[in-house]
Amino acid sequence: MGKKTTFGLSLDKISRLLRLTLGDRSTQDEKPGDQDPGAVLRQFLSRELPLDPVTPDSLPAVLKRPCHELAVMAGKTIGDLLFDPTTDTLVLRALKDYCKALPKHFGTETWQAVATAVYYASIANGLLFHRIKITELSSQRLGEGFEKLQEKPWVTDELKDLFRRAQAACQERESERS
Amino acid sequence: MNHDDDTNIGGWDGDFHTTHWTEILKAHTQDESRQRAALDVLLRRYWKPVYCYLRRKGYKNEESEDLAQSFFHEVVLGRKLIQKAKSSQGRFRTFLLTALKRYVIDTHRIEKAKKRVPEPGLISFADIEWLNVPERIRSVSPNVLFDYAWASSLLDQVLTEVESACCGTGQTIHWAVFNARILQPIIENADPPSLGTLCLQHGISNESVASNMIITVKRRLQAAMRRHVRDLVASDSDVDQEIRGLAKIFSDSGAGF
Repeated sequence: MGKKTTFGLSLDKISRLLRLTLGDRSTQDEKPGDQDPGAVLRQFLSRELPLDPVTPDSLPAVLKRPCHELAVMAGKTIGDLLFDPTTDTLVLRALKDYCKALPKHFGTETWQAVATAVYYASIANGLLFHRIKITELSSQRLGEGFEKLQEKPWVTDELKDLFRRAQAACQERESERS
Repeated sequence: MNHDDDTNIGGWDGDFHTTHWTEILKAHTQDESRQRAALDVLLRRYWKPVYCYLRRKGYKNEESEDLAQSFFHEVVLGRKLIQKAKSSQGRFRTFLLTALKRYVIDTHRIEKAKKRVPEPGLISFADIEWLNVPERIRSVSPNVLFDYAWASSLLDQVLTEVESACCGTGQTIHWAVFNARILQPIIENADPPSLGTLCLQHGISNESVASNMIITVKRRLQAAMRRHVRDLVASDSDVDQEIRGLAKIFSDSGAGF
């Protein structure tokens, strides 16, 4: 350990170190069944990073790179990243890519839905807090996506608020263009 | 991990397994060396949280030291707090904190404390780093500060133990990679080196191997933490809840900090 004691570290750092010691609840190796998307979403948002698979070498190639990139935010949860204005855009991109690849690994509708929500949430963070669009999707297309997600009953209120504000940001961008 | 009565109770080193010290104290009340060993574990784990709580309550350094010494001497040892905690509900640190709060309600104890504790005191305060603690931490509530000091001591112990175990089992590079990629970025707020860089630095064949090393150490860390926390909660299922609860306290208290 580079520093011989954790006494004196900020509360946030202590929190992250503690979360690092929690057991894995691996997404990659779970056998998704017919689950309520709301429950799956809440569980996914509370996942601590890094996202380690139970069997290290079982990680599909498409998930490896984003997992490696997300590992640097060890101790934070996915929810932390999404709602934190200081989350780096590289991390947001990694999370977006991870969510884009996840449904290819898990082919269920539930995971498709949850991954889509978090995919859009990572884009929303970039728009709101960095004023950057981390996707090739048009502002109009994004706005439509944000609107649809707000209508989903299983999406958390906090995410709905994020989507609402991101939708407004997209409309503003569209207005500036015209 | 075998939590049965451990005959290899050593000092405070990487090989010490915190077994059920309440059982030790109950079963071996005549064996002073075992009692002392178990008490050493307890003191090392809890003296800092107790001291920090007292400082945060407004007691000066010497007053806090004296009160902490007398608390452990009179209450923890004298009133057999450990044995009582065995049958209590909830976490031991909560139980200890409640006992501490009751103890310091009577402020007259400050004056009497010095006279009660035999020389030398039970605890050495030589390495207290109170003045190095950022003001923002010192200004949180006494309860949070107690938990903070407890969690910090626990993390120090677990990290030291895992590092020692890695180095002792031919996994020095595993630890180095995990430390550089995961720990130091958290501790120092530094950019983590890429896996490619770490592979070059340590002669690791490819990034997949490096990633597996990190996962291996992380699992050691999780197992070590579970081992330590398990002694302090009622059941296996409470372990994660205990750690999560603490992490949440610090997240909530440290918003923006």
